[in-house]
Amino acid sequence: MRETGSVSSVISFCEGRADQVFGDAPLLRTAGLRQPTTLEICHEIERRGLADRNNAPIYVPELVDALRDFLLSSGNWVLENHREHRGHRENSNSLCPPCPLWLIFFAIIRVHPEKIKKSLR
Amino acid sequence: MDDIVLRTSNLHYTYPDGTRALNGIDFEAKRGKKTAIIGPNGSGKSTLFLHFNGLYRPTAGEVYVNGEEITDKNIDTIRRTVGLVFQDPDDQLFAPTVRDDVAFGPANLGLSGSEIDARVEDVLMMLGIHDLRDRNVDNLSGGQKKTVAIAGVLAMEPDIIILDEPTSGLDPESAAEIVEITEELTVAGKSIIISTHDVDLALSWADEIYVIKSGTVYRSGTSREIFGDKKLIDDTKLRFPTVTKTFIEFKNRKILDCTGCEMPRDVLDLVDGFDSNEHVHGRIDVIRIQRCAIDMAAISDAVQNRDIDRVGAMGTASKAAVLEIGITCDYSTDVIQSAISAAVRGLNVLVLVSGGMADLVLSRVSERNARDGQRIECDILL
Repeated sequence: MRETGSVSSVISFCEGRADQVFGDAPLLRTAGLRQPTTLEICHEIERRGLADRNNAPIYVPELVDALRDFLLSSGNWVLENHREHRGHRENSNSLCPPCPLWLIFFAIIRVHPEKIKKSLR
Repeated sequence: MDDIVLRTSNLHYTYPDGTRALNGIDFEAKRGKKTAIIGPNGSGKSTLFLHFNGLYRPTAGEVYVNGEEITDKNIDTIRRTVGLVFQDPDDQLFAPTVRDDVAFGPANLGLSGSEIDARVEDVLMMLGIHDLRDRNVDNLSGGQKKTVAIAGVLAMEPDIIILDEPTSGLDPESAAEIVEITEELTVAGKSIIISTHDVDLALSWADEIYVIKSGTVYRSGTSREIFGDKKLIDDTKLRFPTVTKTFIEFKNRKILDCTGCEMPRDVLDLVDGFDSNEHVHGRIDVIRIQRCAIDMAAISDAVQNRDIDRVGAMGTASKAAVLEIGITCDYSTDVIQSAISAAVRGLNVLVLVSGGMADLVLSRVSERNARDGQRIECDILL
């Protein structure tokens, strides 16, 4: 994202992808705009230390996916629907809490999340 | 005093061309409450509003204001009691300047010149449009015209305020300010009725919602009852508010155990549902700013030696005071929500407010404390 100019000390313009522009809360405030509700939810969760935000989800399913990854990896929530959890496991770094491997993954994710991401690429 | 301020009974209206706009509407608005009417385009919302202060007369059925049926005899009293802001401000504004337009209503109430001036200045300050007072209304933007139209009605100080699509065409900041003002008016005992397509607003704002479809009341209830009903949303071509959609997504995927959970009405409600952490709560201090006289020394004394992490300002006078004191304002829209969010995270917040908004802050914080078992301290310092 880059700033493209300013017409006064108060108003400034920028351009970028939707997730970049709407992810920048102070910029939106300056422009008299507000964040989409999905991002408000995401920021509130992040501010309370409940999740680390790596992206700016625009749609509700993206938001829920992003939070689910965190909820599963942190071990704070247990999925009731095991089948869905297994499907989820195939596509991400989260494992079902009762699985033995989950404990190892959980420890690594909490200590070195960046390594996990790298190894999955 | 009767709790119902406005009521319609089996209200029918047919336009001269034969279009049947209302087909037996039974509606009630309670004193001091916020009522939202939602429904698809052409469902009869605006036509219904035009009956509320006697601009339209029903083809059949009755409209009662404070228990009195609207008739030719009491129409003047009714129009002093019920203020209506049209959806299109061009239908409402006609005077050459903003000041003249806002003064028109109070002048027709027979008020003295000084009283009219005081009301006009007060309302222009409240809505943050005092710098427009000498402007020609034809040269204003759509959003500015809307705000002036609202100012004209507020200047008459009606007990019941009807706003047809009050936030449409406004930028988010102005829309949030209008919403805050309606909240302030409700705390002052006014009854507010709005129509809106903004389901996010209806969910968080309304005490009672009426869903109108094809000129009839399809359903009425609290916002949780209305937006908790998927069939109703599908049938009426509405959509779920984002907060509701997120909650439902969690519920459907069985990520959270939502058994017995109340549906959240706003972002804070939703996140409180996830948040099982024990937070050390911060404090919210409130300072009332008088619109005409800002006592800087008193404000400085009050905030001296207080540990303040965030500052919020609600209303034009408060925002001006923040600038004058020379402190950075962290929250200028959604101030109460932001302040509560910060306090939940252990931050101390100073909120500068205009007029009756102090009571609004106190009531919202105590509501949240009561509902969620939180203990956020909130005091009015000045």
